[in-house]
Amino acid sequence: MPDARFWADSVADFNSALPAQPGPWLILSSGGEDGAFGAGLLNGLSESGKRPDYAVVTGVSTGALMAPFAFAGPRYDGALRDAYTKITAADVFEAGGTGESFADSWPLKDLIAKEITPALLADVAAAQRSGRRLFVITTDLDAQHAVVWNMGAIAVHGGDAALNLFRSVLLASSAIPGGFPPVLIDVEANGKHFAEMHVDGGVGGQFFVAPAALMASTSDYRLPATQLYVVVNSGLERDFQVVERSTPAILAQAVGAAVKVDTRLMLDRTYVAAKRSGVDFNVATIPVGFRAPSRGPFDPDYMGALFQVGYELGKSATPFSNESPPYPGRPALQSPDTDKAGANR
Amino acid sequence: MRKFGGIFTAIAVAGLLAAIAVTPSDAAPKHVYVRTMAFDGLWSVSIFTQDGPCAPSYRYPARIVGGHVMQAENDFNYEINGAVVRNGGISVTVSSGGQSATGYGRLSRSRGAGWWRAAGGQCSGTWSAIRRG
Repeated sequence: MPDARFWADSVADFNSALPAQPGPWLILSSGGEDGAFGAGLLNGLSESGKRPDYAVVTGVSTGALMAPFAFAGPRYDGALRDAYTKITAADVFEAGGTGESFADSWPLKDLIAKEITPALLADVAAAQRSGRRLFVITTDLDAQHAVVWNMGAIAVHGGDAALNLFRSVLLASSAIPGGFPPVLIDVEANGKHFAEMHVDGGVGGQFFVAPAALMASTSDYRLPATQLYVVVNSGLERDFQVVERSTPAILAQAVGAAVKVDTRLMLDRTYVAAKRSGVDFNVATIPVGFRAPSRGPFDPDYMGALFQVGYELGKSATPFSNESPPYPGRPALQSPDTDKAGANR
Repeated sequence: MRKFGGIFTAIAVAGLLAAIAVTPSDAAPKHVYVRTMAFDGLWSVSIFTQDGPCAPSYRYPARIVGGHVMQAENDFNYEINGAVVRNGGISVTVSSGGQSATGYGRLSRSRGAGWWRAAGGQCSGTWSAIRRG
């Protein structure tokens, strides 16, 4: 499929894929179930009439899953709300190793197939024809290279092949390495067919604005946008918890810490790039005070509470901040309960 | 706050409170308590907590061979043991980390449903299953 994708660090391909006219860009970050925040925010923005037709929408991981709905417009707000408030862990993964991961994501694959309909594909294609762009990022594990998928260009092709590729890219973009199995995508290059192994786009960064060379502090590139709206679907504050002595728990806490650091650095860089470009910088993050309890992964009560926080923020007078979030101070000293106190000794 | 790695946490506690089970006296009267191969294959079981502080839901694979219910894969995080009888009554206990849960239910050719309760009674709920192979 020509124009279906390009390397995320290819400046020439990126520039040629952009809309002809500048406009507002919406950048949707990774964050797993915390994508409920972004889903709520978008619903709130629609409610308050402050949601433009974004010229460019980019999504990574959970941001990728919501990106087609955000791109296709407020008529999909209900589907977006349901996708982040009515699902449970059983709709996303099945426990048990696959040989490639700790869990199997076939339930998520089925859910994506249900939500990404031919009608949605047609709406994405129409937006592409009107000059708008939808980009989703995966990581080509074979090449250790982030890939930008031009989802609108894929949608324009239409038919089952386009629909299947569209769905596979979304699944791949949220395939946390080790957690979910990678997604094999059939490709053709130089007349040869083979299957590329793709995983979560978050491996290459928690959100995507432009190729790294263009975002560098030494670059003089000016982003061809009128405004940047970055939605961070994950908490930026350190999250103290006594870590269980198991491989998954240790990985989760370590990756979670790395994601916070990566997200903050990327926000800082994006802020500088926006200022350099004369582009309005806007960022929405989960409020620091949000402390809803969660009984487990994809807890509908927790996600519903986070959706509501996003929704209220979206409806508010100031849904976005114009400054990069301040770096946190020292983590608050915790008093683990008696049972947990000895867990990591 | 749950975060990026939530699924890992889920896997870490896999099996703590999930169960599909049936007591033979309820779902499979003794005179028909004969194992069957009619339900042999790969199943996916969704667990839903209705009461108690346990995780809201999980999904587990299970394999039935000769009427014996076991883990679908070698996963040392949890253990499944149980049996299904001719009328579809199924009895399974899931255990992990010294904790376990049991329940009650029934399978049809392609689906199943029932309820479960954790040992100690701190949590209970329902389960459903679909056949995947």
